[in-house]
Amino acid sequence: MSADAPAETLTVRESINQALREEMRRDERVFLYGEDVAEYGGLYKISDGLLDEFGEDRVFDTPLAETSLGGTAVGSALVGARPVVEIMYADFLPIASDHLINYAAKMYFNYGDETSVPLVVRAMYGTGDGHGLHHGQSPEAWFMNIPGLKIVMPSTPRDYKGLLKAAVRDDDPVVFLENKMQYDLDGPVPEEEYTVPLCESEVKRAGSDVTVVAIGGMVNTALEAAENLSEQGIECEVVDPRTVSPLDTEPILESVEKTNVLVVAQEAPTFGGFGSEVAAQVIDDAFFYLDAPVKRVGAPFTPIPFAENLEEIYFQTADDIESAVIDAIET
Amino acid sequence: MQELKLPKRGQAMEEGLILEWTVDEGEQVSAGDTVVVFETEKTTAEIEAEQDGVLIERLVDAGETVPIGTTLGYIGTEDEAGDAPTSDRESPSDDVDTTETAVVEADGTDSAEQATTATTEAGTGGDTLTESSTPEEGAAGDADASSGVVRASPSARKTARSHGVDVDAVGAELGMTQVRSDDVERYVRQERNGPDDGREIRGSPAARRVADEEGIRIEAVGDAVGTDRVRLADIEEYTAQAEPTKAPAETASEPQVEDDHTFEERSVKETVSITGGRKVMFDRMQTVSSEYGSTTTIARVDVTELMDLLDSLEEPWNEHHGVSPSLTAFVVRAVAEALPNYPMLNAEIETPDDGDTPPQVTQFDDVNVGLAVDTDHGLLVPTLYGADEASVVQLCGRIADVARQAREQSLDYEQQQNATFTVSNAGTFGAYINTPRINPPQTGILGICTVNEEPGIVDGEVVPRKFVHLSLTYDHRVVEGSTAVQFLQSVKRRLESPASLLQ
Amino acid sequence: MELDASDKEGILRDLLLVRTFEEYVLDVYQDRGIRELPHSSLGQEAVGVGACVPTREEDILVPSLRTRAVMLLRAPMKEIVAGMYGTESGPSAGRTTEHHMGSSEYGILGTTGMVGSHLNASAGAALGSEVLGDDRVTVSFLGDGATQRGEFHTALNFATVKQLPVVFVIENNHWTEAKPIEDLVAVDDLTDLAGHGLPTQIVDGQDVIEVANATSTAVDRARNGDGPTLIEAKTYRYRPHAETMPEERDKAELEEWKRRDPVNIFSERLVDDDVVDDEWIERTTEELRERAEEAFQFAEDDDLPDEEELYHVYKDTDIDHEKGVVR
Repeated sequence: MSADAPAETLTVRESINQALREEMRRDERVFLYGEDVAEYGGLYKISDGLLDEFGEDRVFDTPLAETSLGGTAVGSALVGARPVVEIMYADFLPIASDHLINYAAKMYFNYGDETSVPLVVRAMYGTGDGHGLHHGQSPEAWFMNIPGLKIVMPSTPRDYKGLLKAAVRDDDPVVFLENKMQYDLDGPVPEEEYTVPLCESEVKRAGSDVTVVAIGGMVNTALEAAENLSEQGIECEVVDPRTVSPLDTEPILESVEKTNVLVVAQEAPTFGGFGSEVAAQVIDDAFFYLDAPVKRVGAPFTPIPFAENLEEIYFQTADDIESAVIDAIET
Repeated sequence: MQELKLPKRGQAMEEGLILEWTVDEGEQVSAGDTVVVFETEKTTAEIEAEQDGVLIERLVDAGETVPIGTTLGYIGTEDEAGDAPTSDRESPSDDVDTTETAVVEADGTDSAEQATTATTEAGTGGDTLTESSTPEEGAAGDADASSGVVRASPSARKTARSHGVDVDAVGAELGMTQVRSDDVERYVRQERNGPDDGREIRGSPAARRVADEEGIRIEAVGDAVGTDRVRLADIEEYTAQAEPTKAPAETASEPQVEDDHTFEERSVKETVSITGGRKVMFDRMQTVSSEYGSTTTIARVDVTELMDLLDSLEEPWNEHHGVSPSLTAFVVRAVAEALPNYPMLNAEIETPDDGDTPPQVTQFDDVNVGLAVDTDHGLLVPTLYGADEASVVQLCGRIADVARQAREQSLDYEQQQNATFTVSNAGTFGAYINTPRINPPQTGILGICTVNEEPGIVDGEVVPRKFVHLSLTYDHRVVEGSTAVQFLQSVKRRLESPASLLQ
Repeated sequence: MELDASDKEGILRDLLLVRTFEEYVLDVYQDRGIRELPHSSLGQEAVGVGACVPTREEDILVPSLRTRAVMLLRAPMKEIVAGMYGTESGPSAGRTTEHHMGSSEYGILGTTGMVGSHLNASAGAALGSEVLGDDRVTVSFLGDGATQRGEFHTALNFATVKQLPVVFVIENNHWTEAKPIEDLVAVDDLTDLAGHGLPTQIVDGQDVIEVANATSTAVDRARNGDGPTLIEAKTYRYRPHAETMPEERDKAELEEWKRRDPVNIFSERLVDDDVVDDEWIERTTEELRERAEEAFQFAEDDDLPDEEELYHVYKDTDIDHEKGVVR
């Protein structure tokens, strides 16, 4: 995909919608289901218009049962269909975790004839809208430790569209996480047919002083922090892995070899989070390039609070990333 | 009533961390007692009681960090306990004067006593807040030993911290209640069999790699730049500071010699790790060369008569005393006789590094001559205790004993302590003249060089005589040149009238 | 359903196949152990065999932990036993246990160690068929234990609401692990747990033909697009839940059920009807035992898998399995 290719400006919402539409046109085995995805067009209007185009055999609503959503997705994928199932809030994923962890992740391992589980589970995450405990958690760390699952967390409209298309075409089970606070974020999206490969990290901003690895919604936050830090003479290199697992560490390692300083940012609580694994990989493979302690930015180790001020404290902003960068550099 | 306030120690100091209270509320204190120990970025320091009394109140707990000027507590009489705090204190007047350069007379009256009194006399008149490191003078401090608490000077604490040892352990092990920095060093050397790592300067992984690549020691960087956590930027600063190495000299006119040398790396014969005893010497010499004002003065001594005397005493002494007379013993005797007249040379120096306390020279009554003995496992310096009270015969015996013990590695710890001056016989190696290095923390060392038959002048005639050079290295920071020379002359005179030494 | 003599002979052969195999497994296990812990289906063979009678080769079968009949009727015996031994010729080259095997080739849906978790997956298989527009029906077997889970409810509701082509066959063998069913379920008939508006039927699980007939109706219904059916086959297992779990079974109860042994009942009936004779039964049994012996010998001689087989986690991405990152 060349930089000169004509591009349109789309929001994240539009990008996802287009991706679904295009993939369903391309492959009739692809179908979309979940709660309120059909007529309602999805809680956040992501699947708007898809029922009209594809009919209720391929876009339909289901009873309220995440176990069914998870289990039927596995079963239908195993017999050759390509389900895209929406679990609405990522916080509900635990209800389907038996099917994700014990079934979907393990069937390729269990079959001997190359049968796999080509499903996509879409779920929303992201704090900041006062939804409290159970409508905003970032689940990537819950599933990162499960071999066999793929976890994708895009940040830009271009990445959302390209990665979702790639996820649908991927023969392995993919958990596709959408930041609901950034559905309206817009950006350039190629007009031509394209996909963005899974399991490839990308440098979103080049810099020579510190490597900031950020995931999902925090990528944009990191870019904001980078702009602010640039004014102070600190140039950040922002690396966006896009796929949490399997993780492409090479660009991250190359970056740390250049900058000698690593900061990792995620929305989920710091402890036991994505950042910790990135830190460990870097400490293992780029140890002799580290000139500062690795700093991780993440939420405090609490549930998501409801009160406006508490939520503000909880939610990680550019300030938090900037502080972490300064901490690392000045230790 | 004494108000204990956190003093400003250093331009950049804005706050201090209270490390420990050495006194409980309600507990008796004496003037001069350390009451609270605190730490700043740069140093550790103490606040002392200026009066006898009771610690009335502790307002700040150990472990708390407070801004300068914070009232930490009050000391007062028991009657005053419960009274409201008084107003601000008067500004300090610096009347503490322990500089020993004041009165040093060749005849030996020393102002050591003055010095001692001055430092412990506090609180009565002046309002000086003696937050300095107390040079733990023997008598005064030990009176408080009953509490069992080990008091350590800030520099001792710093040293202890850098070695990762506890001053209490040091005190317990060495049986001291007032621990100084070199006591800690001593403890560490005793406890460790392996190499003495010295200060723990750490480098980041990247810094260590770069240092390795450039052949730089992280410790050197840390020392030079003033950090114990070295990062890449520090290495840059260090290499920028370092003098550029001279370009290799280019010989414009090279002899046209067949030169088929290629520019190869030098092949290494052996790499020796400076550890153990070698490291002790290394450290000592490092200290001496960086801190001491070492100066050497040399006397040429006519020992013709002395050598004759030694010859004549050989048989009778072996028969009657079981020892051979030795030049060294005579020199030690001469030195021991002369030293009491030059107390600055029979002394030890300590330079507290708090920046406020003046250097302290402790002049000793005892004359314990350390004798440098070279052995297979390094240089050892056993002490000849009370050399001024031993006859030459006795010294001969003792010298033979300690030399043997040194070579057999059977010297015990006590035998290597408490020397007040050192004598070194470099003549055994054939040194004509040498410049011995002082054995810190002493202030002087005498080296005996080779005895040579050389032309001398007696009654206007050139005749063969026997001469030996005595090299006196002294610490010119505290010992005057004239003192040193006179001492040396004094030794020389005695050796040139050897019979006098037999008294 | 219409079954001629040849069909019935085939059904008896299948019953004997499962019976002799399960007995052989027990013998070997007691003699020298087997790496995979046997969960014996001795006593309830008629349910598995009977329910498979009306299925086509392309239909999808989802066995419960204990439905050995499904494996034996679809997969080669040697492969099955190799699977029990964890050797390289097993269904997943030794990666996983045989009783959870999955194979698109044989039309067996893979399952997991979670009792009942396959129910939604079964509904999913049926859903997949719908989406793909093929004719396949999914027949899903479950034990009484699975009916106690929420999966049972959600899967049945989903399948019924969506009118999916799936048949659920409960092998109610009256024992859930080490507890009799009466202690764990509030009703007598498990079909009463399923108030989902789907047709249900209770059959005598010891009667292979009754099972076959009921399943046939259900399969037709499903294939016609009329949605799911729930069949409860009342049966009994002679052995404990797993061979390592001893049980205190009431001897009288065991004897009573043995009197209605499904293999014996059908054997006698066919002999009575002159479809087969005792000699045929003996010979067939002997053949099947020999086959079992061969299969076990094969597995015992089979090699353990190459280390490479372990690194079979993602189909579409190559990873460094030590570090867990992209290679």
